Amino acid sequence: MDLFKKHPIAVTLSVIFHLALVIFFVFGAELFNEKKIESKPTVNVVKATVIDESKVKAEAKKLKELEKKKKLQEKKRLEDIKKKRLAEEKKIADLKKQHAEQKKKLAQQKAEEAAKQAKLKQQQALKRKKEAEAEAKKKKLAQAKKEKERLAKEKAAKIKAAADAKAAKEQAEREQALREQLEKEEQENQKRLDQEVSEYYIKLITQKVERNWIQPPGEIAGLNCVVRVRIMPGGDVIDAQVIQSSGNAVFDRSVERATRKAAPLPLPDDPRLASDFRILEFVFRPGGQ
Amino acid sequence: MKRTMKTVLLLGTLLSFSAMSEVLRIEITQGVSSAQPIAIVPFSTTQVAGGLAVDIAQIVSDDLARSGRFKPLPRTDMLNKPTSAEHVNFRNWQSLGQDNLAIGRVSSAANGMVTVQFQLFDVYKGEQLTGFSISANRSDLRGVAHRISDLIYEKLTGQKGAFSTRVAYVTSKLGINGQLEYKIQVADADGFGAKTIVTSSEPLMSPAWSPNGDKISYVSYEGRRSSIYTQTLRTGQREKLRSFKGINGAPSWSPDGTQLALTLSKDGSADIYVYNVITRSFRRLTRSYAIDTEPDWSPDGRQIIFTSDRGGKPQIYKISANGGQAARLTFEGSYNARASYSPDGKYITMVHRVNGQYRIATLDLKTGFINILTDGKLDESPSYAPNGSMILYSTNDGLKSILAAVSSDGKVRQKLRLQGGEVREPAWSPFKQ
Repeated sequence: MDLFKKHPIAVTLSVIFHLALVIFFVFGAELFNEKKIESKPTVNVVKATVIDESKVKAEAKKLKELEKKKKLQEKKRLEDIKKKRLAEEKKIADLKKQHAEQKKKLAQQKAEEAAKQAKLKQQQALKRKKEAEAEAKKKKLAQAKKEKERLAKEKAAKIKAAADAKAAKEQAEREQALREQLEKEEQENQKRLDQEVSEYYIKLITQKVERNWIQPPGEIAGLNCVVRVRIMPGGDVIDAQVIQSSGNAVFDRSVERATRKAAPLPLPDDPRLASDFRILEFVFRPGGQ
Repeated sequence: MKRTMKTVLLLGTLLSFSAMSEVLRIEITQGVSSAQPIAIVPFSTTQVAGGLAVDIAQIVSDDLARSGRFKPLPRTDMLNKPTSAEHVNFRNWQSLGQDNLAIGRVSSAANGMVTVQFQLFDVYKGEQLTGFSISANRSDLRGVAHRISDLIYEKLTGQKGAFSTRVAYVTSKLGINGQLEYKIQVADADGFGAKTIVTSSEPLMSPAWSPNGDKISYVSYEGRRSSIYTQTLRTGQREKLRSFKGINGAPSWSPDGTQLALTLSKDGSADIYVYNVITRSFRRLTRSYAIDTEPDWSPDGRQIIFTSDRGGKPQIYKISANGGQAARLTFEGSYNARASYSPDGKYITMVHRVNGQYRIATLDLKTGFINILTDGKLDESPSYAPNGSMILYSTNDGLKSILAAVSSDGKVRQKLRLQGGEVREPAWSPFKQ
């Protein structure tokens, strides 16, 4: 039906043609057969009834002559018939041949048609196949494309994932590094802060001791004396001891007194730092010399 | 700033060092040169029959205050007045900000004598620094007090105290006859106990102590001519140096006591001469057409400084005691005169005119830096204490000339109340030999 839809004219012609062929085969052949059957009996029946002796002799001669003529005629008729027959036979043969040829032709045509049909069919099939193939191909391509895309996508995703992972890893590493850096900085900051705090308190202590150090009169530049001071948590002085004398008793006493008098010494609140201030050694070096 | 940098650097090294030693080291490079707080508790006199007329603790307190090195606690601020060690509560004295504490007791001894005991404590260390027991006549209690001052001073400053020394000076006063009467007196360093060694109706000037303090040379205009006399204090015996025409003035003993530098104008203008006590000979030291006067020996006896106006204005010059070229020492100001060496020879003190006013100044010979110590209008005749801690000078109090003392750093000034009229030209004695 698809075919008809696709090739309406060709199909119609084909049908008409086929119908004509069928009609021809059925009725055409019968027409020829009837003619043959009617001619034969007519001839035989009429000629068999006429007979005389003198006459039959003449007659017989005439008859013989007639017979002979008749015979000749017969012979001739027979021959004609034969001829006719031959012709007819020939004609039949021809017809047959023609018929055969026609048949053959028809067959051929049919075959051709069939072939054609087949070819068509084949072509169609081919076409369909091709189409299908194309479709399939197309589909396949699409699928391939799709697959490809999917793969690409997957790959991209993978790459992305890898990149992400890498990035994440790097990020993590960076973060770790940063954290470490921060931690380090924090530690350093703490250390620096500690140091700053310590230095601040050292400065405070220095200032307080300096304020309380009444320098002995006279030449004291060049003298130096070390006093070790033990300090209570509150900054009070437990004891102060000259551990390295300047050789000048008054100078030594003045510095030892300065450390005692400076009590309570300002100490950092942070016990961690304050512990560094339990024992202090003061180096008295007037003029820094 | 520089110091700060250094401190920071030091702190850095010290901190790192401390990491190893576990002991924090702190560098102290400066202190204060303020007076030391000291509490001198009134001495107990309950063990003295009849009590005492002399307040020893007050004399000690005044001595130490006058030096500028101590800041005695007023008695009214004392929470209690212990007179023996067992009654001392160091916390009390710490809370009063006192570094040192002196307590004492006077008790009767045999033969009408008294025994003075005193103890000096380190308030922060809570221990005794020194303690003495001195026997003395009741009449000499001021002397005992000055000795205690010397002991405390020496213990706490490392320098010899000069409280037991004396000062000589010139007074002038209208006499009963309406004439000016001149005297040279010798008193304790605090101005008490003045004794006249010579009196004259003519001016007396320029008393100068011999190095061992047994003699005083001075200029006298007796007979209306200037002459230099040397008088032995113990005997009152005096000797007149050969005098010359013109000026005979400004005697100054060499540290070894063998020579006197003086000013003579016998050869024209006033110049510095050196008189040899042993050979009794004179040697001319300077030769200039200007006035050269007021010589003073360096402590090592090698140099003599003097005032000269050879440059147009009076300035201080230095010359070798053996003679030679004089070198100018003062360049600041248009008037510098009457110079004398500090006992350590590192400074000279002199009269320095600034804005038309005459003030006592010191010149640091090493740096050339002039430090003006006084703020009077007419401060004159500076004289170092033998320990260099103070300078005695004369100043105008109203219309009257009086003596005053200034600590050699200029921080503490005190007027000396002396009996009599005008007081001038103080000369601080050397340490007692």
